[in-house]
Amino acid sequence: MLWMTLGVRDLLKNKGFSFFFVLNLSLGLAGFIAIHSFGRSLDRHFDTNLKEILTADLVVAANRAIAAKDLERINSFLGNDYTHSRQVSFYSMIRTTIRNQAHTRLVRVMAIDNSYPLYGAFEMAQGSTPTDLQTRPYVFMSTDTAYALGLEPGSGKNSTLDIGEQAFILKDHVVSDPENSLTSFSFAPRIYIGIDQLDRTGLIRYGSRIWVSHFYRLAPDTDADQISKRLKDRFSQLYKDQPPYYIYTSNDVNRRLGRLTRYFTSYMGLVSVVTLFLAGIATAYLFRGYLNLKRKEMAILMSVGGSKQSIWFYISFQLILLGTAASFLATLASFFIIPAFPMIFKGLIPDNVILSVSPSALALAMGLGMAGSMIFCLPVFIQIFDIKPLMLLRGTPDTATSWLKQVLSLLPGVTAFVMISIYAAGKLKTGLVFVGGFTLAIGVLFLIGQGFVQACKRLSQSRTPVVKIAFRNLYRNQWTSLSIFVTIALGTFLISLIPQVQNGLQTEIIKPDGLKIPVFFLVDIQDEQKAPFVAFMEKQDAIISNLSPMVRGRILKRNNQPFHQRSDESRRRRGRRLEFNFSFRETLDVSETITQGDPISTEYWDWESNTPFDISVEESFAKENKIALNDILEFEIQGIPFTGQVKNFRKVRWNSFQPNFFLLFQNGVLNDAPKTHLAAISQVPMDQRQQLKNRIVDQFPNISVIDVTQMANTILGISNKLSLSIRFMAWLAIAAGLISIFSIARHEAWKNRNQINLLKVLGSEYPAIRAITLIEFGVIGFAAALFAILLSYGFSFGISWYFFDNLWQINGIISILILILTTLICMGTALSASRKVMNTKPIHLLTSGT
Amino acid sequence: MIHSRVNRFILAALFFTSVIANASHAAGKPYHIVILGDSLSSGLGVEPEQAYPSLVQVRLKSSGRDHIKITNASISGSTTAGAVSRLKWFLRAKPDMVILALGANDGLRGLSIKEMEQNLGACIELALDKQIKTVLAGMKIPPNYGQEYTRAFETAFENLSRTYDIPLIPFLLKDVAGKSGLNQADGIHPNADGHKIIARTVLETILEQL
Repeated sequence: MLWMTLGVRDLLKNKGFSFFFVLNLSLGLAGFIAIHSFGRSLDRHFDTNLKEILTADLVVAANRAIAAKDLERINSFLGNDYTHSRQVSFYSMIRTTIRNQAHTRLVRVMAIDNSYPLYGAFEMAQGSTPTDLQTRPYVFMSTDTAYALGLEPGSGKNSTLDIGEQAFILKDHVVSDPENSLTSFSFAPRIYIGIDQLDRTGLIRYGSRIWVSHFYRLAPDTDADQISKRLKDRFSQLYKDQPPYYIYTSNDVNRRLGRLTRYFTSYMGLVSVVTLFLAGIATAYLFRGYLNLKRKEMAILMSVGGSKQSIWFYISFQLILLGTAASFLATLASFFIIPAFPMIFKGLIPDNVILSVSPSALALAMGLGMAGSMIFCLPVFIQIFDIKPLMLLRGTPDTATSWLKQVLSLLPGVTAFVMISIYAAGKLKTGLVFVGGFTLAIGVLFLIGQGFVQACKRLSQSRTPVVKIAFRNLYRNQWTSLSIFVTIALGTFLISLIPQVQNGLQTEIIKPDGLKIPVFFLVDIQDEQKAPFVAFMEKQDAIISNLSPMVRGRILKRNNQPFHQRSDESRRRRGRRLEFNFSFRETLDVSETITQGDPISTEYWDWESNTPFDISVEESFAKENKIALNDILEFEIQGIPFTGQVKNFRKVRWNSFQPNFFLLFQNGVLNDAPKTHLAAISQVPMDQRQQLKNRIVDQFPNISVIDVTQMANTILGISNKLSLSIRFMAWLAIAAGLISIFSIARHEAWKNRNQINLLKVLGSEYPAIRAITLIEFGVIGFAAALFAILLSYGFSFGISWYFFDNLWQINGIISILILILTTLICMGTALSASRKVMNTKPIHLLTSGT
Repeated sequence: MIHSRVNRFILAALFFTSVIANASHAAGKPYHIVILGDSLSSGLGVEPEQAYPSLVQVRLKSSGRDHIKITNASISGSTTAGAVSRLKWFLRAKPDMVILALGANDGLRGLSIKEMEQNLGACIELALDKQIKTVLAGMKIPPNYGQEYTRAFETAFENLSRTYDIPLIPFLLKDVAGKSGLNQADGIHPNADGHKIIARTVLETILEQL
C-alpha cells in the first residue's frame, strides 16, 4: 500500500512528465483503435454487401427438387436458428398479345416464396411485396422488360402474359431486385412469380430444366463457409464424389469479387498487424524509456534497503497507472472520433459504411496499455536487478545478465506479440509470416544501425564544430543512438510497407485507363455477320469494343504428356473441363499486360512451316495448369491437330468486363477456322438501351444480347469502394505511424534535455544548440527512414508475392513524403524540446530528477 | 460341355467375320463421316474417347469397318447460325456423310425456330449439293419452354427431314434425356454411360445408311 501511495505521489509530483507520457502513449493506441475499428467496420460492410448479392448466407441448389431426406441432412448441419427460403427458376417462352398480335419471348421465370430475399429487398415502383405473388397469378418485372414485352401494369389487356398454361397479370415494376446475377450470365430478362403459382403453369414436369435453390440465413457469427465445407464433404460421401448439389456462400458469389475481397481481407490483416506493431513499438519504447529514467531512483531505493520485489511493484504500479490512463484516454477519444469519420473524411471513405468502435480493438489497446508494461519491461527489470546499485548510479552499461536469462525474459513479450499478431491478421499463416518478417527486419535494421553509428564516428572528425559535436554525441551515446535509430526505422519501415502493397492492389482493383464499361455483351456473332454487324453498329448511338474471334478446341498434350485440367472438387462435380476458347488479336487489350516472355509474333503463321506457332497464356491459367514458358502444347481444333509453343504469360484484368481469353494464338492459326465473335457494347444512353437491344435482336436473331449493366455496376461499385477503403486505410496507417514516431521522437528529445542543458551551462548560444540538436535528430531520422523505406521495398515485394499474387508497385511519391515527414518530425520535436530547455533555468532541470 | 462348344463356335465365328471384314477393308474405299454438333456431341465434361463419336468409331472398327473414319466437328455452345460456314471448312476433308446434330442451343436460348430451320436447311442444301449423304439428328427442348415452342421445335426437324428427304434420328438423346444416372450434374449433358446409349442410336442410323 505504501508503495502505491508513493507511486501516485511521485506521478502527481511530476505532473508534466506524467501528462506527456500518457498523451504520447494514448496517441499510438488511438491510432491502433481507429484503424482496427475502421477495418472491422469495412469488413462487415463488404460482408453484408456480398450477402445481399447472394441474398443469403448459404445456398444449396440443384437442377432438380432436392430430396426430402437431403433437406433434413442439410437442416441438421444448420442448428435451430436459421431462416429458409425456396426458389425455382427456369427459362420459358412466354406469350403476349399486343394489338391482337401474338409475341413470344424467352424470359427467366423466378418463382419465389414470401421469405425471399433473406438479405436485401425488392424495391418496387408501387410498393408490392412477394406476398402479393402467392395468392393470385401476378408477376413482377423491370420497366425495361415490360417495355420489351409491350406490357403495362394494371388490369387491362396490355397487362397479361401467358406463362405455360396460366395467364399472369403484371402487378408492379421492379425498380431494383435482390438477384444480381453475379454467379452466371443470364440470356433472358428475369420475371418474378409466386412459388405457389408454379403448378398452374404446367411447365414443371418430367424433363423440365429447372434450377431449385434453397437459401439459408444463419444465426449471427455462424461460420457459413465451414458449414458449406462440411455439407460438401457429406454429400460427396453420400453420392460417391458426384454430389448433385451446388453449395455456395457469399464468398463464392463471384470469382472477381471473391478475389478482390480476399485481397482486401489480407490487406486489412496486414494493416492491422502493422498498426499493432507500431502501437507496440511506441508502447514498448515509452515504457522502457520510463524505466531507464528511473534507474537512479531504483538504485537509491535498493541502496537504502528496498527489496527488489517492492521496487518492482512500485515502478510497475506507476507504469500500469500511466498505461491505464493512456488506454482510457485513447478509448474515450475513439468513441468520439471514429463515428465522426464519415463527416471528417467525406468522399474519402465509402458512403453508407456504418463505423463503430471495435470491441476487440479496445480490448487489445487496453491490454497493451495496462499489461504491456509488465511484458515489455521484464527484460529491463531483470537487467537492472542483476546490477549492483553502485554501477547503476554510475550509469555503467548493463552487461551482467546472462544470455539465457535475457532470452527467457523476452519470451512472455514475444509470445504475447505472436498471439496478438495472429489474432489481428485473422490467419495463423499471415500472422506468423508478419512476425517472422518483422523479426528479420529488426535484425537487418540493427545491423544497419550499427553501421550508421560507425559512420557517425567518421563524420565526427568534421572541422565544423557544430557538426563535430552533433556526430560525436551520436557516436558517444551509441546505444541510445542505436535504439532511436532502430525504433524510428522500424516505425518508418512499417508505415512504408503499406503504400507499396496498396499501390499494386489499387492498380488491380480500379478499372483500367481507357476502359469503356460495357452495357451489353454479345455472343455468337457469326463470321459472315461480322462486317454487317459492324456496319449496323456504326449507325447506332453506341460504341462496339473488343470484337474478338473465338474458336473452341481441346488441349491434348503439354510437352508430349496428356493435358488434364486440375480436378478440384467443384470441377469433379461439374465434369472435367477439356474444351477451351482460343482467340487471336493484333494488339493486346488495355486490360492485358505481358508479365513474362516476349510478345507473340505478328507474322502470319504458315501452315506448311512445320514450326510451332506462338501462344500467349493467361498467367493464372498457366499457374493452375503448371504451364511454363516455352512449353509445347498440342491442340485439336475442329478435328485438326495443331502444335504451338508458349511465348509469354499475360496478366488479364478481370474487372475490365471485356472479352478475354486464356490462350491467344499467333496470327494465321485460327483465321480460317470456323469461329464466332464476342463483343462488348458501351456508351449507350440509358433511355436507348432497350431499343438498341431490340434492334440488334431483330436484325441478327441468332446473336444473344446479355445485359451486363447491373453486373458491371455492382462489381465496379464494390471494387470502387474497396479501392477507396484501401487508400484510406493506407493514409490512416501512415498517419498513425507518424504519430507513433512523433511520440517516440518527442520522448527522446525530452530525454535529451539534460545534454542540451549542459551545453547551455557551458555557455553555448541557442543557435549553436539548435543546430546541434537539429543535426543530431535530423540525421538519425533521415538515415533511419531512408534505410527503412529501402528495406520496406524488399519486404513489401515479398508480401505482395506471397499474399497478393505479385500485385506490387513502388509508390515513390509516398516514400519521399514519408522520408521528409519522418525527418521533419524528428527535427521538429527536437527543436521544440531545445527551445523549452532554453526557456528553463538550468538548476531547475538539474534538480528535476527524471 | 455344351457351353464350351458354343463358346468355341462363337470365337470361331468372330474370327471368321473379322478376317472377312479386314479383307473387305483392305479392298474398301475409305469412308469419312463428319459429325457437326454442339456440346452434346463434342463430349463436354467427359473424356474425348468417352464421347459418342469416338464410341461409334470404336464400334465400327471392332465390327471390321475400320475404313470408316469419323471426325467429331462439334463445338460446345454452337448454334445453327454457324452451321454452313463450319460445313464449308470441313468440305476440305471431303466427307462422304455428315451428321447434323445442331439446334439444342438455339432452343435453349429461345432463338427463332424459323431461323433455325433456315440455317439447317442451308446446311443440308450445301451438303446435298456436294453429294454428301446427310443425316439429321432430331432434338427436343425441355417442357418448361412451353408447349407451343417445344412442339414447333420438335416439328422443325421432321419438316426438314421430309423437305430434303434425308434420314432423321428422331431424338439424339433417346433413352438418355431426363435420366439422372445418364447425365452429368448439370442435368443436360450426358455422362459416359449416356454417351454409350447415344452411340448405339447413332450407329444404328449410320449402318442403315452405309
